[in-house]
Amino acid sequence: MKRILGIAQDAPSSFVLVSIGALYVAFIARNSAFIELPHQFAILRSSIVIGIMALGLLLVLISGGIDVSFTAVAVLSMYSTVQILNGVDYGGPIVVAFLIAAAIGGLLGLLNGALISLLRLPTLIVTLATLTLFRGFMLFFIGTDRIRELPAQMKPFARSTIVSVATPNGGKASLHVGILLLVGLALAVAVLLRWTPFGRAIYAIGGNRQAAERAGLPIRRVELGVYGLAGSMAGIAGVVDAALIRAADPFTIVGTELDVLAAVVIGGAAITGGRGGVLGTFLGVILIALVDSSLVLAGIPTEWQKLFVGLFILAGVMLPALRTWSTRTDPRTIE
Amino acid sequence: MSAVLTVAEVSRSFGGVRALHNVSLAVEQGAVHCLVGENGSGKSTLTKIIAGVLSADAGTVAMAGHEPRSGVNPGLAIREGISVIYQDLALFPNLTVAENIAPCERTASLTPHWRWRSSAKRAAAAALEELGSAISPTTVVERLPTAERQLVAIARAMTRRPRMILMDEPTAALTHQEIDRLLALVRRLRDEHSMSFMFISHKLNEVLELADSVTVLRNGVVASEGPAADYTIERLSNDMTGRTISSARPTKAPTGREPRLTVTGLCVKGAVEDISFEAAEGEVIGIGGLLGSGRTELALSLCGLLKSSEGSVEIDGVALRPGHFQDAIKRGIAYVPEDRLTEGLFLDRSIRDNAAAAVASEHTSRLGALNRSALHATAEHWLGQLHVKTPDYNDAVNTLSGGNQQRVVLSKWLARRPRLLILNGPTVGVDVGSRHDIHETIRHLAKDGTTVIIASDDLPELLAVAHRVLVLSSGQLRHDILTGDLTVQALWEAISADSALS
Ligand SMILES: Nc1ncnc2c1ncn2[C@@H]1O[C@H](COP(=O)(O)OP(=O)(O)OP(=O)(O)O)[C@@H](O)[C@H]1O
Ligand SMILES: [Mg+2]
Repeated sequence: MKRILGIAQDAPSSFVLVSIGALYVAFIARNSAFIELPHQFAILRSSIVIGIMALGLLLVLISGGIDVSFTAVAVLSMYSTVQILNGVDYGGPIVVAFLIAAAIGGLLGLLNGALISLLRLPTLIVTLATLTLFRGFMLFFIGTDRIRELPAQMKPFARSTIVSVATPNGGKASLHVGILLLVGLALAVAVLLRWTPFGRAIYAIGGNRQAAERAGLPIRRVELGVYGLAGSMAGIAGVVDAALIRAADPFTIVGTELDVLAAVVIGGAAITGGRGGVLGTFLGVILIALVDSSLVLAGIPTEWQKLFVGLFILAGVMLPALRTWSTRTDPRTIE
Repeated sequence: MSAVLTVAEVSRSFGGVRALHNVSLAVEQGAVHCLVGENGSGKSTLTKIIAGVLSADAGTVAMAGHEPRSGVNPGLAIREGISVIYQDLALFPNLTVAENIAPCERTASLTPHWRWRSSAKRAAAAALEELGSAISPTTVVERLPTAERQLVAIARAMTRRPRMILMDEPTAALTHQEIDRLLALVRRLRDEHSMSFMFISHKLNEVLELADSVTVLRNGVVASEGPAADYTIERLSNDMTGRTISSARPTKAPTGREPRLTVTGLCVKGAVEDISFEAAEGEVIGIGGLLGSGRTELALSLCGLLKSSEGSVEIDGVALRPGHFQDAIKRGIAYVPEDRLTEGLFLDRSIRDNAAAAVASEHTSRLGALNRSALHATAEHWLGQLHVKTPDYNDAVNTLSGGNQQRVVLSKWLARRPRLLILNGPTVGVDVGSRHDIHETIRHLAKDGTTVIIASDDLPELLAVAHRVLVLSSGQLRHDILTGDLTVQALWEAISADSALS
């Protein structure tokens, strides 16, 4: 399992695991309802959308870039997909919705990649600009209304569960099927990063861009691929989100950029590139979902939530730095 | 014989700086062509143009059987059969040794290679074995010391069995043994596989030992060229510098001076055992020994970069706090590390700022105001002393050639006018002319009363500046030899004698 999910690139995973463990202990101590299945399933459910976006962002961070436009991509792809499918009165399988959203998202991501290659500007600047651009385009040209009528097959998807367990108080606890989508995509990204030349090239470019150029790696193509994939992931996440909230809301998702970024960074991806893995990201997502959805239950005011996330990011970022600092024992690498 | 590589009238400038002008050369199939020249004479620039990493402003580069080219296209050069060992290595610090040496593939294909990891490990182990190195293929490169990174870069270039390898100062960070093995391997690949090499080094004896033909660059133009048999060390250095360089000896050892440094029973766990010696004001002491002899560790523990477990280091009779670099600096110790690229330089800051970095506090008034002009004057004085070659001290350090960067590191520490100067391989990657100048500077400093400790692999260097050489082996002090009229041969025997037994 370790090998499969790429623990070698995941050094700080243990930090995230310990944090998750500590939070569990703390939450259970405050409110024993926390450990019950309905709440556990709710945590998993709320990690699906940020998890899928985090996988895309992970690729971008490893390549040495950063992307903040993915939330706008997610909403724009989701909203247009719903409009297209409603327009033709589509009643077929939901896969088509995912494919259309992934295609639209992919195109928007490719646009990011192309701008970055052409303008040679910092990726943060470019994606900040496209964040606003995509957002403006969406609200101005496509629509600002919340669409309550989703394409026919999205409703059953919203209700599909993997397991459903009766709870003692007569209710039902269900695990949403979307979690399978997240796991499937995570496995695909793990394989991509660990075993394909494309994935290895992402690490190489993030580790030493100049060396990658000298080694003759097709940097532009890899970058286009990375931003394109990040866009597709965002598109898929958008559709899942619409299904979960049972509406196409133009104002959903936007604003979660930092949560997603936090998840990926806590999971061990370096902002400076070249480092990060799927397992770490997955754990980071769980940690964020845990904080997001559990503080209330634990009786901690929501205003504290941001503070907590901030503290975890700080610790998660400092820890690897401290570690490299303390393990530099070879005298020839001192200073 | 036919030329495998032809460089025709290549020119290249950076801003106003002319790095290469009308340079032509040809490398024969199955031959070693050595390129020598002072720091900044354009060797690395030429290497990068041949590798397709830099474009030529004029002129072309052609591999036999391929079209002449002058643009940027590293992938094309690789496909034509060129491999390069860059002066700055160009490794991926975040990847393992195995993956650096035998990458998954140089494409961006999406087809998984389920077994690439094990095949990369095998290929890397085989390549490292050829170099006689025991580096583990699964180590992440950023954890390796410089010498081992150098070996990884060499192994990477060799493992592709290209038609031609460009080697830009591959031996700068290596020890004698490693160099011998590398040179033997180059000869074997040349003779058995008819591979061709362009080899760059400042170690002229190495050049003469290996070369079939030579090109000497001076200020970006070809100063002379010809078969290696026509060259001697003297001719090489004359052609490079345009002046005659004589081998000098240290000035007389000072007598009757107070000891400046007293080391008693110094131990560093796992590296150095029970070392005691004294160094007087104005004395230059060399530390010799093979890799792993404790040479570097001794130097590091003297300046507090490595914590000693026992014993004491006293400056002017007052003991230093072990393992406390800041304390050592306050007491007038300066340490110049051996690896300039990862240590001690802010690569994108200006040359002047780098040279001034260590003395900024001395030029700060009590209220915290920086006396900029005095600071710059000090920095420029030392940059001038060491002949740092640049059109403008405001340029970033990374526009300098490798050897000139090394001089900036030296200037930075000399500007502090230290009482005890500790140097580790001070002329690694520095050309003969500047090497001579740096030695001259060390002698001057000593005459003015600075005590100098110099750890070096370079025996002629130790003989040129040191009054005494301490020979270490397995962490113990084996000999304390006055250099007087010691020969390189005798010193080499002293250094290698004990290790032959162990
Ligand atoms: N990117 C750059 N920008 C500006 N100037 C540069 C750049 N690269 C090289 N130069 C200049 O070109 C000249 C030749 O540099 P080059 O690195 O080729 O020298 P070199 O012969 O390899 O020296 P060394 O022995 O010190 O490595 C130097 O004056 C250097 O300052
Ligand atoms: Mg050079």
